Amino acid sequence: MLLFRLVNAKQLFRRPAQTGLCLLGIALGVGVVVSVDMANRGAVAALRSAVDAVAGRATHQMTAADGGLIADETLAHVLAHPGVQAAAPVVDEFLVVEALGNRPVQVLGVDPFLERPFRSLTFSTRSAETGRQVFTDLLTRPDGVVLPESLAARHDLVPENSLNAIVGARRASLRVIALYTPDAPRSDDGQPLIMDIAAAQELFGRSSGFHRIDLIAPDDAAASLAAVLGSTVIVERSDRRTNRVEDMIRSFRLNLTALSLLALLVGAFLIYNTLTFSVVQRRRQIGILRSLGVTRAQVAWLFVLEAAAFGVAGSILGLGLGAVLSHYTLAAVGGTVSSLFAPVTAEDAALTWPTVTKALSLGLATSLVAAAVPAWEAARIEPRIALGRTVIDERLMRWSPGFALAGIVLLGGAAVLVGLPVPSLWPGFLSAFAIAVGFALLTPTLALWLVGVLSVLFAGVAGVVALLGVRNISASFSRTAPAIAALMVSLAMVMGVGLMVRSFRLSLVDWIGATIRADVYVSPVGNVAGRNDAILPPEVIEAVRRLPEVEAVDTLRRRSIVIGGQRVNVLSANFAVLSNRARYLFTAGSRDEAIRRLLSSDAVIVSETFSRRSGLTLGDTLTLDTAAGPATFEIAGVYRDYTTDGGVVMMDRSAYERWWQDTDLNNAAAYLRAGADAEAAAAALRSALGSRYQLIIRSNAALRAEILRVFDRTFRVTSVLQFLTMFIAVVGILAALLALLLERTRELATLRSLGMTMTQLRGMLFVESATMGIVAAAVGTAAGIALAYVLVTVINVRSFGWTIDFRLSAAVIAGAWILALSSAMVATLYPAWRLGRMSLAAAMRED
Amino acid sequence: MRTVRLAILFLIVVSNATAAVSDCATTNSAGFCTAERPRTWVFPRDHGAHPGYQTEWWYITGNVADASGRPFGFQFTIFRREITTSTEGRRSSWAVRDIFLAHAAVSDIEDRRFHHTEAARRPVAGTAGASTETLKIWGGGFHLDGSNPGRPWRLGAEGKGFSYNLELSPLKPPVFHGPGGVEKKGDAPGQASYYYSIPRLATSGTVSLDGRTYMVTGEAWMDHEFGSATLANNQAGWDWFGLQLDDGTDLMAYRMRLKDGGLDRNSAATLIDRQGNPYWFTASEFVITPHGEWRSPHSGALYPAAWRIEIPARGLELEVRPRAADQELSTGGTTGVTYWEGSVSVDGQSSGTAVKGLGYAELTGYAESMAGRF
Repeated sequence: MLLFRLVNAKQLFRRPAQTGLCLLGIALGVGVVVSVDMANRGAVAALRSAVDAVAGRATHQMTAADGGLIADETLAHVLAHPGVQAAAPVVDEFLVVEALGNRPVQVLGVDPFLERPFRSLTFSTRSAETGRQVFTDLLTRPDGVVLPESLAARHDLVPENSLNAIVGARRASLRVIALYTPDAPRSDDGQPLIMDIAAAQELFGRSSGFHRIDLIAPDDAAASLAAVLGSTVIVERSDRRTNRVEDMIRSFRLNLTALSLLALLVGAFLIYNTLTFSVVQRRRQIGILRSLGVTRAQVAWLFVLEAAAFGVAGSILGLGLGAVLSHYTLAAVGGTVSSLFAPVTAEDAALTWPTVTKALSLGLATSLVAAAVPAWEAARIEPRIALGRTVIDERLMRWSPGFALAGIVLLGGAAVLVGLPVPSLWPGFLSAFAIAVGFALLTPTLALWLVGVLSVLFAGVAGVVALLGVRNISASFSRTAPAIAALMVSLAMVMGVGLMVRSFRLSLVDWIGATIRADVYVSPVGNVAGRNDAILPPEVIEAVRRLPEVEAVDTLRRRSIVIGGQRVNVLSANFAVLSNRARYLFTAGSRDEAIRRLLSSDAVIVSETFSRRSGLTLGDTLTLDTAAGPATFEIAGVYRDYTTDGGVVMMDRSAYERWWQDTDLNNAAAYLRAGADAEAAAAALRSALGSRYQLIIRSNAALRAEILRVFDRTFRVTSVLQFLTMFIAVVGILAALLALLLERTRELATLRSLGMTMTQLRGMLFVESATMGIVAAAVGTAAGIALAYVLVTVINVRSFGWTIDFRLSAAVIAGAWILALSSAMVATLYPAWRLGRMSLAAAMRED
Repeated sequence: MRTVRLAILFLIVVSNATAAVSDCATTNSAGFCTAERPRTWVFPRDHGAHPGYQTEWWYITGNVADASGRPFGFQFTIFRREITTSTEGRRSSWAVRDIFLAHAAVSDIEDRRFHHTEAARRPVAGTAGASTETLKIWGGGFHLDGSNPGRPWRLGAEGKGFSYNLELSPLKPPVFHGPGGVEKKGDAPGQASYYYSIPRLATSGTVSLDGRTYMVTGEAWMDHEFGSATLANNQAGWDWFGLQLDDGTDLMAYRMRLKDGGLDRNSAATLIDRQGNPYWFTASEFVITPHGEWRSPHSGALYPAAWRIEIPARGLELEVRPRAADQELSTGGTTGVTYWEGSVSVDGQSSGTAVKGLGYAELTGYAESMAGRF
């Protein structure tokens, strides 16, 4: 075995650029996987710590079934229930604090006595004297707030500081009365502000009630409590709540992981390419080894070991690279989670053993799979030295129909998988991979055919140099084919994801056009993702109505309730105002009929995400827990909605107020008289209300732009991945060209000595590379469209439940082509430069 | 910066100096009612809560035994503490004027085990409260209910590993510790409280320890006190005794200790005859002499191990000993005070006749000074 190691090591060091690029390819592939893994974990950890910091040591949590508040009286029942060891009411709100970076922070209103079993609440104050005062202050000051120590330190806040806060749409002044040390010090950013329950209720405009009751109780006591209190409350285990939060972003994480694995697939082609090259380079050496009595198996081992060495070294590099990259992917993932699910501040995740193990095993497994064919190829080498490079190239050409057939079978499999009527995401991911690999297997055949076509074209147009360049591709097919395939796969991914995002964006633009029809929108500043329940003061709505240019005002009320264990938003709007103004896009039912029913009976329309998740559709009935008890509604239509991936049930305000006895409102939308200027109306409202209330007043155009801005931010993370994959592909082409150049040193020298100028040689290289780019882009376009189709119609629908109209975008495809050609050109620069430094004499002696 | 556990508390707190109008005759600078003038007492109204006074407490201690003679001591305490004189302008039902702090303990004399618990609640949504019309106080698993005329009072508490549910019937009327119920605690005006006792209540019911329930009978002692004064800065704490003697008389006596080791001249004693008539003694008319010592393994505080109580004018000489050494309460979750409250036995003579009896003692200020607290 020592012999093999020497042979391999020598080979590796003889070609440092080659080896380096191959390592870089694996490292990048593994790095992308690692960074996505770490970003996912960071995002989950941030969500989890936010949930845990809020839950404390509770075993169970009780919430109101109607999505509202739990009445004070319920608490006495809970405290008196046998088996309940501790129970604490919690007011759970968000407010915006100027001195804390002007972003939404969670504030919990607790009763310090009842809360004791749930969190230790160790307070620190400025002095012993104020320390004695702190509890009286906490219980008696309506503006008293206690900050987590680290948060206060980061913002230079100390006890006795005053804070300017925004509560919903109102300004409020708070006073820091103490700091507290959180029980779990790691996750400081998820730590809430603490207030006395009375102060919190008053701050948010109420005199009683709370969002939940935390419990410490055995499961059976919690269950019997739930049974006693009936359907007005929901009691669930705390870990279930945490799991639900994770469930929210599971699809999102899964999608990112799948995309990152595509990057690794591109890396696999690099290994394959490098090893094939290595087999070709060493065919003589292998022949000698074989004649010296080395067995086929031992030769195969030689390459397997080499691949393993690449895999391990590349993975270790990839781990480091991934750790660095994760800082950026985490920022992107955190931004997406914050805008879609819940506000989080994700801290950089540490590299953990599961990630290390995953990276090493993925890197190694990918390398070994990629090494299989070259190792087998090497093992076939006869003891005779006669086996030339061309034999291998010819064999690959001979086999390419076989590959193509396998590719077609895989693509057929992908088509079958797409058609499987199951809710799972896995068939979608599998079919995406089958498409990538299937087109890669088809690539040699398609490439040969395209090269044939191109050589005919080029021969007529560009002369012999171009022809040589094109023909070089088929002449060195064992190296060019994998490089083309690698570029093709990454282009397919770039196009697939690009087309999906584009289709999504265009669908969103359509939806905005149909739904966002009012001229001016007014909402409170305190709204945050996942908790859009900040209240708009009635005076504000009145002021909007009074504006002379306003023709009609629609108002929106949002409430979160639980249906079948799932959180669902109940929305109510004034359909009398909406009926001839907004056009909801119905996927089931007719718009006119739906609105007629909404206005005349207890009917609802549901978002398609809700319909898909619940299996309920037009004509079905739906029972909701209202403040007046369970009530049955008819589903009068299913409409398209991109506002949330949780379901939406929408009804007319009159029905909502009747069933929930709730007149609070969250947003207002004003429709102006014909000819009125929206921006001017918005400005008028801002100057009338801005000094007293904290509102977001936007014109239609501004709101549309904002929605698209959020959309673009959401997909920033996919752009990062696209870029990284493309980068790996460029490395792949560079590696392939470099290999070709090294291998053909003598051939090039011969051409040179036969009188070809350096410019002609370089031109030949450029044509060769450009042709590879064109071929990859052509096949990649087909693969990319197929991939986009799967992403749009299967993976997106199953992940988020949104219908997206599949659209082909010339811009995305053209962009990918430009990317392909320019990266092929860029990849030629170094080989072309090396060509110029080639010593003819030395080159002629080689090989 | 000093770190303070949530636990430290309310009783240390000198409350907000917001002036408020009270219907009481005299108030202190913080606006709370003070106990200065003799009071016209009306029962059962005065068994109930007295809003306006900053601190009010109900104390019931007793010695009981099961049919086999297995002895237990029990303690039940609810403090009502006002944290502000006014909640004007507050909307929330959780914005309250007072909070309730409760301590309970059971002394298992035979097994030398001491169980205690504590709870804190604010009077909201029926989870805690006190009637102002009659004897009815509850919260945090504690209750004392004497609101049913002609029926025994009901008393209950539960904590980790123990609980008790008892019925109490007064055997003597309320007894005042000073003219009009005013008992001076210090030299300053207003440094006093209204204080009465019902020194004997027939007691029966159940005591449960670690899952075993004992049917018990015995006698209890009730104290009810309210005022707005805390100990003066030179006062360290007190040794209090409520003793029931087998000749039918009862003795309440306490010595107020000063930080310099001296005795406060406001220390007092009340001897109560069989009919419930009180005889008041000032500091110079009785002597309490501690002897021996016991160090708490929990707090490290050093307590006296026995006392000799003498009222020379009555020929009363009593030796008081704890029935179990370790009856110390640490109340980090409510009052933040560490004190000893336990069952004691009495031996001695009264005018030459041998007497014995049982009772309770309360020792404060040994683990830390009580100045400024009560």
